[in-house]
Amino acid sequence: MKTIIKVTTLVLSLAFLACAGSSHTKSEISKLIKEAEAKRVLAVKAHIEFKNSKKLIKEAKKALKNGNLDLAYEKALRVHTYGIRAFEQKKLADKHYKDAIPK
Amino acid sequence: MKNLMYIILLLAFSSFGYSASYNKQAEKDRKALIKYFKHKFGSEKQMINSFPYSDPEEIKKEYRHNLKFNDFSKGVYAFAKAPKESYDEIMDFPPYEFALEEGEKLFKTGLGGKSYSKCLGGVAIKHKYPKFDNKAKKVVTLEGAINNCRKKAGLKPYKKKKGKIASLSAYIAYKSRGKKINIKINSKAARAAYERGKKFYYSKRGYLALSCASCHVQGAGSRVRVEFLSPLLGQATHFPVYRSKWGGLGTMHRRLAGCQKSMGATPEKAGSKALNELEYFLTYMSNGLKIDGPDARK
Repeated sequence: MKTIIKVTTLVLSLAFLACAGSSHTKSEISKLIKEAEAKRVLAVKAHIEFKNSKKLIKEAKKALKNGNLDLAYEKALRVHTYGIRAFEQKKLADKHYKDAIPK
Repeated sequence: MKNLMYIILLLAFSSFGYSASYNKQAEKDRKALIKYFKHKFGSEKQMINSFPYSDPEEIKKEYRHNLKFNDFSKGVYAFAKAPKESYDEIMDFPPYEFALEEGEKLFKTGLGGKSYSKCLGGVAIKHKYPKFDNKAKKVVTLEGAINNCRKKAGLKPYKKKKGKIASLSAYIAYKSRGKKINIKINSKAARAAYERGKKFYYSKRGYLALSCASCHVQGAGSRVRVEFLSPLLGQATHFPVYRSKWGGLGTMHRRLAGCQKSMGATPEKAGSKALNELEYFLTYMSNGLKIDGPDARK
């Protein structure tokens, strides 16, 4: 009986890990990389690109190619977020940069 | 005849008044900045209040107090006692001296065997740069002017961060030592360039969400680990600079690019419009301070 419980627990945990590993599909990540790249292009045009965005995109693509989906997702998401943050900063700068000037 | 004289005089005065008004905002900014830093680096009590995250004992023992306007030309060495001691030791044998010799040789014969003097309008000219070229409607830095001379002479322009241009610029700065920085804003386009430079300086960029001002205005005088942050006032006096980190001499644009990288932003290219205008703004803020370049920094 003990052996059956042990085997069942092992099978269940392996199944859980397998599910967790495939939380993002390849096509989802490809889409995210494309979106992140588009955001980066806009940021480059506006001179507000973050320093390592280019490198992160490269790493995300490499990880996707190697089948390391979680890593690819994490890297692409960072660039995606960086793009959003860069534009938020620009918007804030346009409105509030004068507040920082000593008067 | 008398009426005509009056009209001419009136026109002359009104045009003078009009041209002088282009730097009205810039002067206001500069005076406010001087007031801000004089307060920040004022008496011991004022300094303790200005640095709420620093240990008051450190402020009392490690900082110099009551800084005067001219003190700011020395950057962090104006207020930080320990770094000033090591700076004084370094300056017993200035590390940029090799560059001065090369710079002198280049200045006298580097323009196809001729001197740069005629093209640049003399040698002691560092205090006048960057200038706004009203014909080309753009800011021209000293390094930009050197490269313009080279282009006119049919020579290949130098790279703008280090090497020969830094040596040449160092020699010119050395010859200009003691002259007061005198940047002019004398047209509408020049004023717009100044404003763009100012906006660049005060805008947050990069993944750390910092602006130049975060460290060099609001944060000036604080420590980042063991390094002190220099104030905006006086940042333009000592370039080109020999940095121990670089192991060589570099122009202001080399330093600005390094700063942008540290902020997590992609640096603008040396000699780009954005960096030229940024240099125009921050050199204007140091107007009235004496040229002290080339100098050595960590």
